[in-house]
Amino acid sequence: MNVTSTPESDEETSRSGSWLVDGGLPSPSYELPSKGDVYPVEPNEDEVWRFPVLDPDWGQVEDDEPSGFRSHTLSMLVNDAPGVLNRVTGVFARRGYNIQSLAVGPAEKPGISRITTVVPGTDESIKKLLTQILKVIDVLKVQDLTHIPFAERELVLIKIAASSKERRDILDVAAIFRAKTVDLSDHSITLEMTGDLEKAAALQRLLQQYGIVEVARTGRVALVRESGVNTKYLGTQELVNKFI
Amino acid sequence: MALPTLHASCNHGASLHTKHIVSGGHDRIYLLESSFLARQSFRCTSGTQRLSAEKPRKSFSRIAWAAAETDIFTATADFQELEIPSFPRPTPPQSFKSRFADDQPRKGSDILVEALEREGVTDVFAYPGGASMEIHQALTRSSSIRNVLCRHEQGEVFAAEGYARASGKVGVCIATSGPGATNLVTGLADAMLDSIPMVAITGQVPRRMIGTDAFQETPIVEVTRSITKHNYLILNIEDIPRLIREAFYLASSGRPGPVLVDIPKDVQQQMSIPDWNQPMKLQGYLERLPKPPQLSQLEQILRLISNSRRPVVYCGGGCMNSSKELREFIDLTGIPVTTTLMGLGVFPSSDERCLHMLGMHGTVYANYSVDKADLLLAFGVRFDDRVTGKLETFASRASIVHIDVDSAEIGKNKQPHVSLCADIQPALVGINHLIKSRNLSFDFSAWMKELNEQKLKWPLNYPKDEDFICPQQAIELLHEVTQGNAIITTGVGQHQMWAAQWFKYDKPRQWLSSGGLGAMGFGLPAALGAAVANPGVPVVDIDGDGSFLMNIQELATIYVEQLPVKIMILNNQHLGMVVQWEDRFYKGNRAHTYLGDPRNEETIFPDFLKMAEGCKVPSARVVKKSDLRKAIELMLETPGPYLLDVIVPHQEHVLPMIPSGGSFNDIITEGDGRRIY
Repeated sequence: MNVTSTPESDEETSRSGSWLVDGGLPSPSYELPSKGDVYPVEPNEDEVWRFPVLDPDWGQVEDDEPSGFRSHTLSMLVNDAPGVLNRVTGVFARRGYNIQSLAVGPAEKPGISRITTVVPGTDESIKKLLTQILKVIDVLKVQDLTHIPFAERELVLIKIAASSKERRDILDVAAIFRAKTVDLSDHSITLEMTGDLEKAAALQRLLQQYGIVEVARTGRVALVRESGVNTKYLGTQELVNKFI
Repeated sequence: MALPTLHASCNHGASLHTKHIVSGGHDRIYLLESSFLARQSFRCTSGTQRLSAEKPRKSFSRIAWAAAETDIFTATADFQELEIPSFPRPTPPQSFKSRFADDQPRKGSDILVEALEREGVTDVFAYPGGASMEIHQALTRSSSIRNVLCRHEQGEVFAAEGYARASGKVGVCIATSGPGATNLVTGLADAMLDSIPMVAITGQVPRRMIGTDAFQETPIVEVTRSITKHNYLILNIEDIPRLIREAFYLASSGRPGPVLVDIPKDVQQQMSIPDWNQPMKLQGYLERLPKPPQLSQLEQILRLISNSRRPVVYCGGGCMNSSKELREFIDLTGIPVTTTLMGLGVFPSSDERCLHMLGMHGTVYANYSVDKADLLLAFGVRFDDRVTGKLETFASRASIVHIDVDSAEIGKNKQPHVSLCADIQPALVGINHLIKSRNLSFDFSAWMKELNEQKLKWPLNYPKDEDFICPQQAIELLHEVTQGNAIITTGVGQHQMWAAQWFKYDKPRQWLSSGGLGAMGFGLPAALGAAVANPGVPVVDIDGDGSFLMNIQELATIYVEQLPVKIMILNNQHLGMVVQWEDRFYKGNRAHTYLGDPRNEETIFPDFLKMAEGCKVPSARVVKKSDLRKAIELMLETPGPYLLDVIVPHQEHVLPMIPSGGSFNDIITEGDGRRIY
């Protein structure tokens, strides 16, 4: 929010402020965005609700958005008690944040759980969300992993419709992705694959043509990389060129 | 070492029992089970630990506020020690005399009541029901807790709120399961938005019946999750002492708020021997409580003040316990003060540096000062939309300094230039000390002169020559007759805004009103809660006819308890505030805002005098201006409850007004319902 006074706002307030000093009346036809509502009604700002959650690559809310709107990975430690998950997700709902994925499980110490979640938003809005989550009594620690190097994985179980003719092709694809076959029947194959978001999205896109029956994804789990190596940077073209 | 200075965020002006909680919370952090101490300790920063001889160094709960003054200059790092002679000291621990022998098993409800007694609770507002009967039976066995029986659970939760707002202590209300618990919801939301310390205890169906849609069962913990600071469902009788202690601690520390405790009936009936020395399990919360302010941060703020020419202090409900420190700060600096609706009374309105309320219905000069200021000192406020209007133009010329105990509020609506997450009281003590020790002086007389000109040019006014009673005049007269010495509660609407504008509040906790939620029906129950908290102080409920009708059943309570609650109804037969908006923005189209009898518009309907008579509350109606003063005097002189029905016209508008989302230039200063817009 720009709090410095701009020349325009200065001029504007001095012009209409002069009626106050002179004692004249303001012009009655002021244009308000709210047009006299109890709350100011803005034109439809549906940033939060715009991005589809259910696409395999989460509607591509990755790094490239010019507005700074991207998927943020949050990792939090909470007390392991009934209802804690509801409290935390209640904060998301109450403050209007979408959850793209959620993974909960026991953490290092007994009695403490780790919640890893992916939430779309700008840096500003996620910072505000973190301060709200810290108000929940059972939360012990919250960290936004997006801007620091972190390792992320996701487990995908994907069931594809496959007759015996297509089976070979699908198993080839599975071998390339290092996915394992966990179930086989005369009309379907179920594959299990672990990897990061791009790998899961790529697998799903490739298998789309065969007909996906069901997908079950655990959601992203992530931990900070102690080595500090940023794997995203490793994949870029510049670095490759450096070594050629 | 970073001490979570829990006490700092507790209400210091408050009574015995909150200090008891504070010390109880301390002993968990620093020691295991040994008895806590409650003496203030003195520690010098110059490295040598000068401790009072009685305490071993390990077992310590420190308030940590003392040192020689010279140490401030030798201390390069933290500025934690400061001489505060007026700081209330926690009293030594009393050994609590339990009614039961140590090895005597007793019912869960008795354990609960004893836990309340140990927290220093003396008044509760409880309404019995099937699932909370055991608690009521246990309350009859308690000799120190008094129950005020309100006639609706919403009335009881507003009464607990009025009690908490007026005294600073934690308000306690008890309701039964099902409909009793859901009737508490409005009050809990109100306490949440206005940060009022309150503990609500609800009965629940037996544990094995939870989740089966039993009789009078509601999942109240789920329902109130987002409108309480925290809530508990007690599933184990052993947890009762610890959870009640945690509930009171959470309610009163940091940013206060409501806490709900849900106790199933079979837990209430179970027998057990309680362990009173269980430590609280609030590690994450305790670590996140704000630390005492650093010298460097306060110096930065002081530097900004020295460099500014047009500073304004914008203070609110967060300063409720720091009125004295704030007054000293203003005496030292001469900065003009404007308060929000929640902060009325924190700075005396009769002082000439007070610019009264700002915001949507604030005074022109208060909004002018914020608009033209170059430094905005925001103490204990949250930049609510009723105050700021359009965020981009609010204080657009000013550097913003925001001090608040809740870190989530800083930067939520408006990004401050300098922010400090700390309790305002130690922060102000520190700033005052810095100013005094460096003999700084400030001169903002030119700025004050400019503001005084605006005060004279745009005062609050109302039509004075008419023969009808102006509601603003009624409130002004009330202030004159009581000499400002009364606790005022209001409902919500036009009468609330007029009560905020025309009654001058000189002390904190004198003005009780539903700010954040704006719950109609708040006035009468809150007045009765305030009367319970402050026996002997006149309590006046300035109410509207719509708001009064919502909790009118509490007339029975105030008669039975003989509480000296005076009700002054500004009766305009309409839903005033909505009528005002209809006049201004909807061309006067009345949409269900007429509260009188449509078939008989000449008579006053409903007849509040007959309703008061039914509850044996003396009452009177006044229609003529000439009778008003005598009527108000009679109201205040009559002992016990009294109802005064003041008939006012509905065409009056609350002015000035900044429409929502508007900036200072959109301010409306005149007009009423007699014109067509």
